[in-house]
Parts: sequence; C-alpha cells; structure tokens
Amino acid sequence: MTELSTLTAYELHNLLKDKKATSVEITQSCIDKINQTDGKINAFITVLPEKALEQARSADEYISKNSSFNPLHGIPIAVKDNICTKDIKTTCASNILSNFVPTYDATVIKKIKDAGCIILGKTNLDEFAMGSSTENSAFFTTKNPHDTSKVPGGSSGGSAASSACNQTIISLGSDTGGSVRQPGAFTGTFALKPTYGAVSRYGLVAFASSLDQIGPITKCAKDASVLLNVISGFDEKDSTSVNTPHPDYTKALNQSVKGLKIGIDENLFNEGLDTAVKNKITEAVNIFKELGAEIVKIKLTDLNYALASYYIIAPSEASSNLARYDGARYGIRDKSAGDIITMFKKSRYEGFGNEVKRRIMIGTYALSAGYYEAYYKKAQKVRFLIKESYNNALKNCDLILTPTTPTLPFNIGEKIEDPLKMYLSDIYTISVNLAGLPAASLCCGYHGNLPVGMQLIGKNFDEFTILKAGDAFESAAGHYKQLRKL
Amino acid sequence: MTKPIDKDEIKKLAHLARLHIDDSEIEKYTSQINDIMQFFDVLKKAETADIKEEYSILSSVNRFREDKVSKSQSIKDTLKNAPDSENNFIKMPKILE
Repeated sequence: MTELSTLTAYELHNLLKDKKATSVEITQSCIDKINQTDGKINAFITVLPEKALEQARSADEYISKNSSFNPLHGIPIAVKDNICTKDIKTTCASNILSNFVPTYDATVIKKIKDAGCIILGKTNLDEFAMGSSTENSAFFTTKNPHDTSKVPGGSSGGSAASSACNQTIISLGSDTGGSVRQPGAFTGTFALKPTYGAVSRYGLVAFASSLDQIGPITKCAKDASVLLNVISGFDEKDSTSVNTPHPDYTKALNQSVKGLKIGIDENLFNEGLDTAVKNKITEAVNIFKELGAEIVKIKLTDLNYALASYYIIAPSEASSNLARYDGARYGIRDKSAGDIITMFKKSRYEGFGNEVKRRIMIGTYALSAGYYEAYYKKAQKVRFLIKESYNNALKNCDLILTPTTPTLPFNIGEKIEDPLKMYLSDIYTISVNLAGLPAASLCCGYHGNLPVGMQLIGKNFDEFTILKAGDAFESAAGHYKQLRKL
Repeated sequence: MTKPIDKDEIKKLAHLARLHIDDSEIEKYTSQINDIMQFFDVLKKAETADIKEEYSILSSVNRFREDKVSKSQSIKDTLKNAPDSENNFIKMPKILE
C-alpha cells in the first residue's frame, strides 16, 4: 500500500471524505517518516507527536460528524520556526531565542488551526531567515533529501526538505529574498511567495519588514492553492496587509493555459547559469508551448542592481528589527555583566551567529549619519527602477518565466565562508521581493537525482495565474511525483 | 571606489549595534564587510535622478480605526519569557552607580 505521507493534501482530502483514511492514520504516517528519516535529514527543530495525534483525533471526530469540511482539515503541516506558535518554542534557529515560547499565535497559525490542520512541529532555518542553505542555523544543518551531501537551500530549508521527503504533507516558510523559492527549487517542491501584503505577517518574526512574506511549500500547485486559500486575506494586526478580495485559488486548477502569454528575458539565460539548469528550463518552455502558451520576448532592465539594493535594504531593516534582542525582555541574557550596555553587548554576542552579526553591522553602517544617502536612499530608489522594470515587462505578458537558481543544489560547506558567493544563489529571486510581486518555484525536471526549479513571476495579487500555469505544467510533466520515492 | 572601512570603524560599528566583538574576530569581519560594501559600488551606475523618494512599494494609505479598548496580553504572559523579573517588573542590571 502507498504510504499516506507520500500523498498530496488534495488526494488525502478525498480519502478522508470517502472514509478510506483517518487523520490519525495520516498523522501517524508522517510521524513514522520523521522517526525513520529525521536523524539523517535534520529538518525539524521541534517535533510534536503527542499534540499532533491529539489534534488528529479531534479532526477525525469533526470529520465523522460533518459531510463537508475544509480541504486541509486533518492534514499535517510543518511550520518554519520563525512563525510564532502559542506554547510551542519558536527559536528562529538562534541561540538568542533558544528558550522563547510565544504566548500568542501568528495570524497564519490561527488560520491553519481554524481550518483543522495538524501542526507536526517546527522546522529548521538559517538563523533569523538569513541565508540560503540552513548552514547558518545555530543548531544544525538540514540535509537535502535527494542527496544528503547537498544543502536543501534556505532559509526555509527545513520546511522544504520535510515537504519533499514526506515527513509532512504541506509546510509553511517565509520568503524575504527567495527563502521559500530557492529551497523549493533545491528540493523539487512547489514554493510560493505571495504578493507583499497578501498574507498577514503578524507573528512572523521580522527580518526585513518591507520584503518578508509567509508562503506555502508543498508537493504540488494544487496543495499550494488550498493552503493559500486558508492563509491569505486582510489582517488588521498587520499594518501592511492589503484589504483586497482574494479569489478561490482552487478554481485555477485543471485549467488550460492556451493563449497564456509567458515572458522570457533571454539575457537571464546567459552568464552564470549552469548548463544543467538551462537545459531543463528550455525543456519547460517547450512544454508550455505544447500546452498552447505563447512565449513572448521581454527585456528586464536594471536587474543587475537588484542584489546590491537588496543587501543594503534587508540588512538595514534587520539591524532595526533585531535591536529588540538585547537580553532584556525575552531570550538569552548574559548574567555576568555588571552594567546594562555590557549586558546588551554580551547577550547579543553570545546570542547571534556570524551572518546575523555581519548583517546587523552592514545595516547599521548603511543607516548611519553620512552614509544614509549613499546607501539606503540610493538602494530604495533602485528598488523603484526594478519595480518599474517588472511592471513594464508584465504589460506584455501574463507571467515571467526564469530559472529559480543559477545552479543545482550545492555541497554543504561549499559557500559558507564566502558570504558574497552565497548571496549569488538568490540572484533570480531577490528582485521579485524588491518589486513586491508574487512568484513560485516549481520542479521542471531532474539532473541525475537533483531537482531543477523554474520560477513563475506574476502580476501584483495575481497568484491565480501562477497557480493555473503551475498546475497545468505539473499535470503535463509530472515531475512532482518523483517525491513519492523519497 | 568607496574608501575601505578600517578596523577602528568596525569596532565603532559593533558598539553602535550593541555587539561585543572579540579582537580575534575583527580582522575577518573587516575583510568580509569591506568585500560586501565594495560590491555596493555597482549602484553608483544606476540612474536614479528622476526618481522621487518613496518608502513603500505599495500604495500605502493611512488606516484609521476606532479608539476602542480591547484585550491585551496579561502581565503574567508578558513576564513569562523575561530572563529576570520581580513583582510585575522586568529586572535589569544597574544603569547608574
């Protein structure tokens, strides 16, 4: 019999409806998988087997009494450990929050609980979501389930790895510069960064507030659409949440892409792009053509400035946001210090890892008197150039297709000593956060046993078209079914 | 090209950011941060003279709400994660001798 944990939420919902499986069986199947594989993969910081099974029992009771229920009712989910969960430790994979237990739920957590999801545990990440490999986690590095000598990508590497290797059915990550899409590409999962303002950030531990968005990491577009239905929407607790109607995203599924205009900028396929990745992207473009989509040539200007603009804006915001971790009100405090300033400095020294400290210092520099105009202000202006560039391109097409990453999953240890080299792995994803647009990464094939991801970028608040194209592609190509073997 | 940041400036930055920094680490931070800052030089080529200053990528509007009393977190919950507390207060090291 097929293991339940290898199925999609969509398939499991049908089994639950037809009384062919119970939430307890599904949850137990995921827990078994975690027990069998997580010693090797290290996707989870916290696993909650008892709590999960207790929730599953309630879900089964609800399902037995109700003929119609949310497609995610009784479905297990893994949550990135920078999203606050009431009474469940939320560490951000940082020593400074290693003992932090939130007293409230993030809005997305409230929403998934209301939908009936079963929370399996909290997943590993690069400390405070700063990184592209999970190697910056203060606790341990997550391994890529396709090849454990490779990184799973980051920062949402734990969520992506657990979704890929069937430890969970679906998961939540967060994306500031590619942190759901890049691990999505490296693990062969479907990872969506919604439009800025589409999903509430309340309870997401802030890294760079003008760029952060919570997004689903799932096995396929179908599951992402049901999860997006649950988590999207206006929230008065997030001042940047946008009050706009959201469609039923499952209506995007099983649709034709005939006549859909997909924009391609050929300049993005040259320098620095691995041949293996390029070949799979070219195949994907051909599949879209066969499905009846129209390929349109576009030119994205000013993207060469995106990385520099991002690495000024994100650390600047981080240096402000992370000022709150000072050992005073929560987290780790150095108790040896006699005076308050030394206490702040020592607590932060012990509590933060190297990448976090580096970014705090860069941000502090970029915001300091005399440098603010040259760095932060300039970076903000460049951000508008990039936004304009995308908006102009999207006047001539419905979606833009790019690679998600320039390379295949890289080796653990390969880039950790060279921050700039690590930053380059987000070259295709970062500009999308600067522009605030929605984008997804989905698997477009395998090179050997390593997955390759393509990115679909949509217009503001048009996640619908991304899901439509993603689902049509997956139905035709079927690469996502490879995950069942893990 | 931007003037490199020297070790003293790194120490000053660490102080501004309230980060203790070990002498043994200064060298590494100085070189890594300089590499990154130099990478930012590319922005000088970007033509931004015509762009007006804005700080939100969304069309942000002020959102008003009624000034209503609502439930907030209890003192007990607020103190749950505090490293040190006494009565209803968070306890801190001395500020003045």
